[in-house]
Amino acid sequence: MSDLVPKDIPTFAVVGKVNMGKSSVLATLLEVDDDQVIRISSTPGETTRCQILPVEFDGREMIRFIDTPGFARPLEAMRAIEQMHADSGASGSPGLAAIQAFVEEYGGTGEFEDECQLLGPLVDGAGLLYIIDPSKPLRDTFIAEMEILRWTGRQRMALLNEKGEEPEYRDEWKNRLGSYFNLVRTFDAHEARFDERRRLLKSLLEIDEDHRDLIEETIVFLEEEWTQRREESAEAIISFLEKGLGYRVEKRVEERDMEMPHRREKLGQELTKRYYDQIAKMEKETVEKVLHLYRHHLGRVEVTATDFTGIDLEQQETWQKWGLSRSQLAIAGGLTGGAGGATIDIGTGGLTHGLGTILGAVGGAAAAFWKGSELPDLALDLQKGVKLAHGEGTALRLGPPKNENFAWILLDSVLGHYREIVSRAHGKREELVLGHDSMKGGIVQSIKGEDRRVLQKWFTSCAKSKVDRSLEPEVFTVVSKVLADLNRS
Amino acid sequence: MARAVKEDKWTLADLADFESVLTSDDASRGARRIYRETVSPQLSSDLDEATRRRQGLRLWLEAKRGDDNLAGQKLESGLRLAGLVVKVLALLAGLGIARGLLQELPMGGGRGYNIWLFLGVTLGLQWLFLLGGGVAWLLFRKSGRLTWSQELLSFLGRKFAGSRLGPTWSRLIQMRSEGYGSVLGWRLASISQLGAVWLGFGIVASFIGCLWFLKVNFYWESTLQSFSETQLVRVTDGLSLPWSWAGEQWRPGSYGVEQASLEVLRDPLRAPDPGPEEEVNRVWMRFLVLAILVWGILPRLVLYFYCVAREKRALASLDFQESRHRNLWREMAKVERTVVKTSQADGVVLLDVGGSGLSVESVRPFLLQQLRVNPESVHQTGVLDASKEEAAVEAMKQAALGVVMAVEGWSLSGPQMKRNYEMVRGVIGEKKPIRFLVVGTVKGDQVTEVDETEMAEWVKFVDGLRDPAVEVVKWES
Repeated sequence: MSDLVPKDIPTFAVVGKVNMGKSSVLATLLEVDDDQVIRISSTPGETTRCQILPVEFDGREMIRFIDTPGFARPLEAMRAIEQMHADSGASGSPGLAAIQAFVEEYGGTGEFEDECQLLGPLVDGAGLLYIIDPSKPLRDTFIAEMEILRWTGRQRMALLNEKGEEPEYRDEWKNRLGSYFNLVRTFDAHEARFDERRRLLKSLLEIDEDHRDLIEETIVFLEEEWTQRREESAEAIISFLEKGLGYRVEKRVEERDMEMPHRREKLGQELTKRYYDQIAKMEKETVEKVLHLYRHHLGRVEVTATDFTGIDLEQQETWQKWGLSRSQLAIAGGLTGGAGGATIDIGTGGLTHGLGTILGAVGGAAAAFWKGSELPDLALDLQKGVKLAHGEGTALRLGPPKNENFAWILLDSVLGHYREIVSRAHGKREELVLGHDSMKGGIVQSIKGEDRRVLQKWFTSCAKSKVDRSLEPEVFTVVSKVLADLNRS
Repeated sequence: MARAVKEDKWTLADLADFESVLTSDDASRGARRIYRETVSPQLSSDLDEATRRRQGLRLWLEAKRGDDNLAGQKLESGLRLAGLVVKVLALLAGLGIARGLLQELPMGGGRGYNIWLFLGVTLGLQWLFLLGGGVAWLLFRKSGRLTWSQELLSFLGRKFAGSRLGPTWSRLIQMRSEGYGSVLGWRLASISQLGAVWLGFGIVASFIGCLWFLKVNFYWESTLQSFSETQLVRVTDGLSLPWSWAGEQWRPGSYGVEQASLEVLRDPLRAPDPGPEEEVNRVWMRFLVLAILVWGILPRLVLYFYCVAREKRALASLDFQESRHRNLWREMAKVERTVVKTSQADGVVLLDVGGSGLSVESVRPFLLQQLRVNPESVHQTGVLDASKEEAAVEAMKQAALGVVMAVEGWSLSGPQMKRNYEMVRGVIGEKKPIRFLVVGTVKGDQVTEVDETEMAEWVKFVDGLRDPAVEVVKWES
């Protein structure tokens, strides 16, 4: 054992030809999108030396991965090893001793520098992950690599780093890899999500029995961490909705401002813009928080006021894209209205014969269906006798939008961002732009029945600035459930 | 190993202490440490998440709760005091009711209880309140609102507990258990039931006291058919059903009802079978006491124990899913994965000597593959702009693997280049490598290779520096 490969920590060297995606696989597995830590580019030989990448929980190293330079001259290296093995007088095919002799002979000389670097950890006892891009044809150089790795005698897993669908040479690779490796798995470093990462880690159990407990413990910790992130994201989303729906923009006005139409209109426009600017800012902060939770540093949130003021709810397409559909909104309004009406029926001991429930349901549904088709229309409240900084006066208070779908639109928007964040692999290095234009909404339309009723009730209480705290645990459960579904989808 | 279950049970006082500690500034300080050292070792691994959280938070409270935290004690004493006030008032009210119902007989010659009035006030009103309370509970249990009696008791309890407990009290009112309702609400409900029990005791005590010290008769009268003799027989038979097995002396029956009619009392000769007055009175006495005990006090006792049981179930089922609870639990139990910060430690600073405009990308593949170093940044030196020189010096101090000085083959001037070398060496120290990367000419993005003659001169120059940590390399496309 050595500094690179400690005895008590499961260690895996990630090897393969240059540009097969070794660093991408590790970046996705370990959620590192920082080029300062794991450099990824199309330039061959980006990894110049072995790099230790530990998985640590609470300061305790659980698993260690070693990123290695790629095979540069595998054919010559293979021949050199065979020659050294023959020269030593040993019979049969080379083994670990021959590999060790090769590393000792050529290490530090500049000759076979890459091969010596990548074989070093294997000589010291590390497990082996061999990365292959199955879109590349199987050539002799690959066979030479696999032979060398087979000679190490280490437990070996081959990973097909599939980029896209149906790589051309996948079947050919799978057939060949089976005879060289104990295990063959598929992993798309650019698309892998949590489930795939967890599956890969579970596969490590099959090539490192000695450290089974530690690997299993790591997987448990990762699952707990993933749940934690989801819960913290739910908290952030709930906090955003509460603040957003309860937000009001206020300005002191003079009497003449309200009397003259053009001034009134200008004031309204100014305050409306200010309102939606703040909502956009809140959404941006929430999404940035989620990005941070999921360790993404390449995300850029582009949400502006026009994303909201530009929504035209007259358009059928809008109803399909954002928030609830018109009929779903009517049902949600009807359920909430009906529940309120039922209270009256029970309170009168049934004397109203269910009229309260019926009227409540119909009224709630109608209001939701027809009320305020223009999203930018904000609720207006003129407060006289308000104590302001400059003395008593009249304040114009605006917000939230009259349209009851606004809350669902906000939720839909932030869920859409969440979905993009959790499905983004860290191995990708291009910037992730999170905006409304490119986003697919309509997530809230899958929220059904009682869950929707609970949310609608809570939204209503937030919009009235009288948040119903007793509903908060249920709201948290619903939002967490939705996020869990998005994780799986 | 998990602690014994009994020790982990939450009480109302614990909840008050918990909420009080949670609002303090240093609530979450040390939460992680407490979890690691105290909580986690005592939690069994086969518990479900809700039970883990419940037991875990209790253990956290045990670790955090100091001797000066009296919220729980204040809460309990406030509730006890409120309960005492309610009991005393109820007892007095009961005493007063029973005494107040004793009237002068309409025909004179003594006092008596109007049976309809007595039953109506002592049992009828109580049952009206009971049913009304039941309906209110059905209506408002999901909304979390308290009934009027609970509100009153809450007001009293909060006053007795002290104003400092106000915020904690409000949170306890809102704290609900899925399927079991508000924890504090059940306590208030049990206190109000106990109050009703003491009301019944007061009525019985006063009633017996009146019988003891006064000559009391029992009569009834009514104009309405719905309160006629037949109806009274039905009511008494119905009320005495639970003890009907005990014999006729415990229930008035039709004879007793008939004998107690005011018309009969006024003119006993009208009764078909005039019976001894004393015996009829004794039967009524026994019946009314039993009726109050069985239909007044017993249901309230049952409800009291029901409320106590519900309070216990609510405490045992708390899910601690309010946001402040979730935040604390997350702070305690979170797993923290360290951010990977190790780099390849192969970074060098690329110095563009003379300001040729060389781009990093044009030489980077060569540097990675041949020299195994990564140019993290490019800076200019040997230029007129002093700020660029300063920036280059700052960058060089951070370079892990030294400096690569990119020079154009034709630009070799011995003294100038030696000064450049000495400047770099002065910044990075004696041991870090310096590499001269010799190119031909740089024209925008185009870089050419140096010719052999110029390269030979550069080799001679570098050899002359006599520095084992310096090398000269020819750039190849």
